[in-house]
Amino acid sequence: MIEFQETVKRYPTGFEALKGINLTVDKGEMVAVTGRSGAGKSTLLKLAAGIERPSLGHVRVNGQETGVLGDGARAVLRRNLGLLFQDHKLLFDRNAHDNVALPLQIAAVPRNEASKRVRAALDKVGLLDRERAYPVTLSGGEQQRLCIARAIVNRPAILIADEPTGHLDQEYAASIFALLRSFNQVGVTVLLATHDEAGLGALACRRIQLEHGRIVA
Amino acid sequence: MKRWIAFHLQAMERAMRHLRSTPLGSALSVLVIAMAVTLPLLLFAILVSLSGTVERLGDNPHANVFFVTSASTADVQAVERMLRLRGETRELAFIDKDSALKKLKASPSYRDLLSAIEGNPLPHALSFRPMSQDPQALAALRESLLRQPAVETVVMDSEWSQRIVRLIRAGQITGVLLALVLGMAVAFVTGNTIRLQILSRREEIEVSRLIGATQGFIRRPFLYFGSLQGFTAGLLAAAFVRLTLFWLDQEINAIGGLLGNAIELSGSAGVAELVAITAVTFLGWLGAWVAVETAA
Repeated sequence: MIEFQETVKRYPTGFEALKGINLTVDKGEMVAVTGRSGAGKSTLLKLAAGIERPSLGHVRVNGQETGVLGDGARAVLRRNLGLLFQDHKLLFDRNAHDNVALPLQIAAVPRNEASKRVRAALDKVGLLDRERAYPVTLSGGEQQRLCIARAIVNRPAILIADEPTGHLDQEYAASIFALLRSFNQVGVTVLLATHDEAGLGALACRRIQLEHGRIVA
Repeated sequence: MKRWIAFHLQAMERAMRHLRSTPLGSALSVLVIAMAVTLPLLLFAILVSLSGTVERLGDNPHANVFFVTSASTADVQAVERMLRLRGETRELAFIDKDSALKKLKASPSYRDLLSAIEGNPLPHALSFRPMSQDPQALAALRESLLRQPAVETVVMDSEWSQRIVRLIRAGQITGVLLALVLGMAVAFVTGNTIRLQILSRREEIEVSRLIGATQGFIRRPFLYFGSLQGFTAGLLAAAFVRLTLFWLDQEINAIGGLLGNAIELSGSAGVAELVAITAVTFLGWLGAWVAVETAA
């Protein structure tokens, strides 16, 4: 489902964030990429999401070589992924409903159908009663759950989460990991990056450790 | 196809939402653009009316021969005979100076002025229409008339209608230059408005891109906004022009009366308005496109 083959990512400054990564994430699998800040976790996820292109090697998502896709095709690829960002990337001038509805707008889903799906997604993350609330009135944990609702509203087969518990306390972090696990249990492939190894706790998933752009474990 | 329509409807809806969310700013931009469009459009409408009138004048030019005040009826008849013999004129008419004075005195505008003057200051005159519109033939006719000792001056419509035509041409060139400069201003104003919108919505654009929005999805609402702004400004400019022409109609008609032709201003802007609205809509779109391509 997601495949890295001798993948190298070098930024224009010359910094090599990833050095020859070989990794396959199978359909329905949950993989947690761990490592310190600067280990290359976010770059790995950006490559998987088609946000960045590899400098060398290959990245394939659902059989598509992301490195050779044009901007438009990569955008369409991202529409079929659920993306979670460390800094949430919520729109503070829109309420919870409208934030979650954004991917459906991009996919031109009819308004009535979109509204139903937004409410279902909010319900799944336990935020249906905060549908009309603006992100600024939500706690950090609620904001992250809102992000999860936005990520799943398009019913993606792959969920990519970059430090989903970065700003959360342990209790909230555990609930977010549990939520991701529940999606994985219904067949969603999950690739997540975290430096919070303790937070992962007993979460049943494959763990990959990155150090200085290489997989070390 | 359905999806394509949905994308466009959605983009239009978002553009309308942005227009509504900044009513004052949008209204000011529309007003500035409308004012920029009004000036060349108004100029064009007036010139179209004037050139129509002058063309009508050119179709049927008139000439007047004014005699020296001491000229007798016999002198006038001699010139009249000469003209009839040359066969270059039609509708030849003698305007006796006494009847001309009587006619003038009947006009309230000149009554007071003429009552202050002793005697009749008006000369005898001959009025006719030249058969030929050839400038050389007209010049030869004028020369032969001026050689007559009793003839003071010869005034031909065609001469000053040509002067008006030149003035109108100069006006048209000015109008085109003005339209070009103001057209650029329209594109600039729209581009600037959109650029500010893009800056204020940078976060939304970034998030949208991250979760799968194509450049088309990002670009479309701004293009609709620019076009909509241009279209509204075009309509407003057309309304301004109609209103101004309505006010000017009486004055311009008076000038038309002096030329012996009616000038209809109110109906003269129709096609120009349509062209202007289309052009401003396109310029709005263009300004938006440049802004999106450079800033988003």
